[in-house]
Amino acid sequence: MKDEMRMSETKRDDYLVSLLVEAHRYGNTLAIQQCSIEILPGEVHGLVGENGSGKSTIVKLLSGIIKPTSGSLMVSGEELVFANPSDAQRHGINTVFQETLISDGNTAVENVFLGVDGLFKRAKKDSVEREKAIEFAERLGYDASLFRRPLHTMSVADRQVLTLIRSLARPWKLLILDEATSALDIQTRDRLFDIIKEYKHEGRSVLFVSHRMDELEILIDRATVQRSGRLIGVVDKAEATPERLISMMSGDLHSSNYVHQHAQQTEGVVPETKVSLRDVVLVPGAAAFDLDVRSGEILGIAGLEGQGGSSLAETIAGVRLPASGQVALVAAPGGEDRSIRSQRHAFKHGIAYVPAKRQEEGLFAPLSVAQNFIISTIESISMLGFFRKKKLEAATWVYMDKLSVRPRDTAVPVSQLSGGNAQKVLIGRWLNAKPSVIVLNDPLRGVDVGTKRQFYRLITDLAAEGVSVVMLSTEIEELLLISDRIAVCRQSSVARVLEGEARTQQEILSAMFGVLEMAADQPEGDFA
Amino acid sequence: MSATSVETASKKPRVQRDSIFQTVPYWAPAAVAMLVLIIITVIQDPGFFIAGSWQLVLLYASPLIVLAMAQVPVLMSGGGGLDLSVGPAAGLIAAIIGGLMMPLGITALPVLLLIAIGFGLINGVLNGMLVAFLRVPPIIATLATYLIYGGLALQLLRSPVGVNTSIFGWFYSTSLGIPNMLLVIVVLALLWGLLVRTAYGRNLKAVGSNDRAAYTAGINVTGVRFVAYIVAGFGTGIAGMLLVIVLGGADATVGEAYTLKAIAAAVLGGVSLLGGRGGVVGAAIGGLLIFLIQNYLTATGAPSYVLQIAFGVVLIAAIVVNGGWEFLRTKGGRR
Amino acid sequence: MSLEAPTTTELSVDTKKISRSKIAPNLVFLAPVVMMVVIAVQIPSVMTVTGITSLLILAAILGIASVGQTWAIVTGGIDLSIPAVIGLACVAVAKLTANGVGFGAILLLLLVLSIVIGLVHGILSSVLPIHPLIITLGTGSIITGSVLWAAGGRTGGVIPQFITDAVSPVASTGPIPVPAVILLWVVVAFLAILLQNRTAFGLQMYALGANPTAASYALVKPWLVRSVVYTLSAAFAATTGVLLAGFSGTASADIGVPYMFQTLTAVVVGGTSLLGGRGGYGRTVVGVLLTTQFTMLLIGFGVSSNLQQVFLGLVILVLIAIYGRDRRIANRL
Repeated sequence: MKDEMRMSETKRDDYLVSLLVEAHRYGNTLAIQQCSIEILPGEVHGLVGENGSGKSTIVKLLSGIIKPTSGSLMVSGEELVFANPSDAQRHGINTVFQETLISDGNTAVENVFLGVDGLFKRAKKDSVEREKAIEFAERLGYDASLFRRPLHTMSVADRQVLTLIRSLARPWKLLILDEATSALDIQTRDRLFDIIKEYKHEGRSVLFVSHRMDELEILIDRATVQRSGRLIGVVDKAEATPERLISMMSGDLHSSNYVHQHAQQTEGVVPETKVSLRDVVLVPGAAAFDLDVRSGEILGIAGLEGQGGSSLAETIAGVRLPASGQVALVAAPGGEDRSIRSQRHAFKHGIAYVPAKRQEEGLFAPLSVAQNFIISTIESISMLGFFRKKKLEAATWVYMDKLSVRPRDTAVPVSQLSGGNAQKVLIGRWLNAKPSVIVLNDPLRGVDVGTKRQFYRLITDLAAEGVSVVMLSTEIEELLLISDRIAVCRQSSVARVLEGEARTQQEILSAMFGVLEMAADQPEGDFA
Repeated sequence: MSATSVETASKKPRVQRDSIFQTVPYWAPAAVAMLVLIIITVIQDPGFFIAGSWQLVLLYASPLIVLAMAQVPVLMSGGGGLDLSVGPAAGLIAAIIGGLMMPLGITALPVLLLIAIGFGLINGVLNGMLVAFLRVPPIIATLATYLIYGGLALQLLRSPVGVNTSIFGWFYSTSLGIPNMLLVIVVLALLWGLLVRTAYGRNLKAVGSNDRAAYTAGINVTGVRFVAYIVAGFGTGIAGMLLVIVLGGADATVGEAYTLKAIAAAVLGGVSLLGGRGGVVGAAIGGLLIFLIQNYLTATGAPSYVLQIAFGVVLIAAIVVNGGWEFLRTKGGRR
Repeated sequence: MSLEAPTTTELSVDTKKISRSKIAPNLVFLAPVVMMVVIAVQIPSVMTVTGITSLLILAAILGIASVGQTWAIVTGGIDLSIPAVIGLACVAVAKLTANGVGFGAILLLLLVLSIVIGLVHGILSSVLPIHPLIITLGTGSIITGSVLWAAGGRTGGVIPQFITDAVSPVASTGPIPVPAVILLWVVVAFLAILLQNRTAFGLQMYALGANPTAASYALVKPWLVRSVVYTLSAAFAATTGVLLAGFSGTASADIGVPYMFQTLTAVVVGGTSLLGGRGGYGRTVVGVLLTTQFTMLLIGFGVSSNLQQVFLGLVILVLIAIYGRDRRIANRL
């Protein structure tokens, strides 16, 4: 590895961008050391690694958000230090972040051209800006109507498209896509890939940061692999198979071949319905559907962004109420079913909801791990409203051990935990309530492969204990891997529920896109 | 084949009717309230427009109006942007002008105005450096400068003084029936209009709405916030001068009361405390609104406590209305 | 000012290592001790029993008024109605005592009013997406106006003797040779810290301040938490008003005005962040002691009250510039 670095140093001028970092620290924490990334003109370069491997530090260094504690950056043979993101842009490095960084106070066109102007001086006329924005929107499969809509009506996908256009419509030599495709729908993503290929032929480069092995496989020429803040190696397209990348990322040779044993484990247990959805309409105008959540099963929710998957998860947990229809807690035989009135009501009857975006909706950054863990079940350790620190510690450690949270310290602020560990704390919070139904809204987004495997185990164990697990995921492979049934959402309704042999990638995709339905709908439409 | 079906599903926006709430400006509720108050005032005092008492109202309201306008850029710059120091700063500047400069024999209006603006800008630079460069939370930074300016003003001017108001004659008179004070306010609003027509306007909105997006997109967030405080400082300088003109003298204690009223006026005028939304027109209307209420109640001989109650009620009513208005504008985006 | 240096560096060390060291967070509590030494060296004449008792009385009154401000700020809000409630209680005690109403009944009335005020603040600031700054500013104005209205313009009255005794530097509490107000502050501080660190309510308060969205997903009731916080804030402000009536010997509706910024200053100097979810009353106790000591030091040096205010402003700036700054935007990405 050392040789590799020295060798590359001799011809650093050939690279469009060459970043060598001896070390970068955040305060006292060492984020990365002995890392390098070198991008050739006209290549799509992948940056691969599990969460906490230091990918985002590299992206931040390249896009001018931070400066390396020690290291050097060369762009087109020139040694540079970026003071801020605008500096990086001036040298042709544009970045699209995973988070959709949009200003709701500005118009869509203004959002595209944010930061192009000086403090007072406009760089381009309104009409020129508009034209250019529309041009790129069209290339991504949108049209001018995108820029007529108020921002607060836009979905995450639309907003991400705006940030994409923002980066494409100003001059660039290197485009960094930092998990920027995760919010896009597949059509837009494919168009983006086509655009990237065109630019590649012009000699421009793209740094593609992604968890998605399928995307990497299609797109990249070379990839840099990092693990635990260090450079593991650089591989060419031919070597960059998913298996090889995963083994380099995780440092061992087991691939993601997780064995789904859950079906055998629960054999003999008669599943009972825990929550029943009858004639449920998620949003006004959408189609009604029925769905049961049964004990001891893992019910997956699939669907493209904005097609109702998240709404379905929220509706099951009482976070939102359906436009019409009944979501009911199914009582023991003889009892009476009761409609779910609210999240609190659902929680009292054993339904826990783990929200989607853990930083925004789940965690309390400055509070300790223990505080984050206990917040929703504090009554369980309280006497007359007061609790003892010892009891809090004891309750927390049960899940610290069960979920193997790192670091092994309940007093650190949860903001210091990695994504995967923070997610464990969040799930622990709700498991401590011993729910009979747990609804997980996209829990594994941005979680590393190792932690994912732990989660699969945890979830199947829960189901084996008779808990119903409802889990939304944006990754079809994941749903296929662990769920018993998969509810596929389309147009804010459940288009199909797949189980047993029907759970195939092909079936899910066609349900997502409504292929079968369209064919089936045809005669009926004529009839009416 | 599947591609087309998805496109229609995911990309066609839900049919958006441009509702009236999205096209009417943010300050509309305040303007309606102001009109109602003017009508009430006229009913109570039919000579309001004919006898020219409205000109006096405008004159006395002008420091509050200008301070409310000064509050706008800082509120809009987000990140908890707020300038608590505007009142004492205007008071200190008034004390410098009326208690120091004029007794020293400096009576040329342009010179006094320049001095006032100069000190206002210094104040703006100071607040701006604290907030933008040192990243001191605005409420604390300006609380500190509030205390400093208030103390300095009292130290400088132990007791109120009167000044020769003859040089301010222009401000008390009218041009073509329009009070010159209104011209001053209109000119300030136009200057603001010019400023926000430059790139600064969109930069300010972006920084106020989402400073992280603004920063990564390449906006100089520090610069934008710094300028916001300098613009506020400029307004504070003008307001300090107006205090001397309106009071016909200087009093170190009058400034402090203006701070919270100015913030309240801006909020009344539809400026968001969260940043990103607002403008000086709304703030000016809000300032006038507060003054009209005071004026009406004083004119009807209501005791001072009624004024205080009314101020509180109007403030809370205004935020309820503005909150509802914003809800209608965005059709109640999710929590 | 140069003598301030050791205190401030300790504070800065404290916040940086807060998560790593068990000792560092406690260093902040040494600051008032250091300050006391400074006072003892610079103006030895103050170091009499009466002098120190007077300092502690002032600190106690401010300290009791600052409990609610601290918690309002911890939940991500602010309470600008504190001066109005202080005035309300002050006038109520004087007027009602003069009219022959018993002290117990007055306290009950103040408690009921505090609950009403707290509920209004809590519910309004939760239902409307509006910062409590504006709401409490508005209600404060309404409260003060209503007090003047109810008092018919004459706010004077009779102050019960035991209240005057409770805040007198030469009085004692039964066998204990300190005035009751100081003991009251000790009890209040103990209970306040217990409440914020060891109860569900305390935890929910921090959670709400740290992330309101996550708090509602975690089944915290924002309106309830805020209502309790602002009710307690009003109750402590009312207590302060009663004490101030005794301290000044007369009643007025605007007696609490200085406490708007004094409570804020104490909270800020103590190091509770206005960003919400961080800090607490323990720090405010330090802030209260430091600001009171600092004022005393300035008085000892013969600094006029106007310039005291200027110096206080400068101290806030220095302290905050050292340890209370916002994060860089780059660090929030």
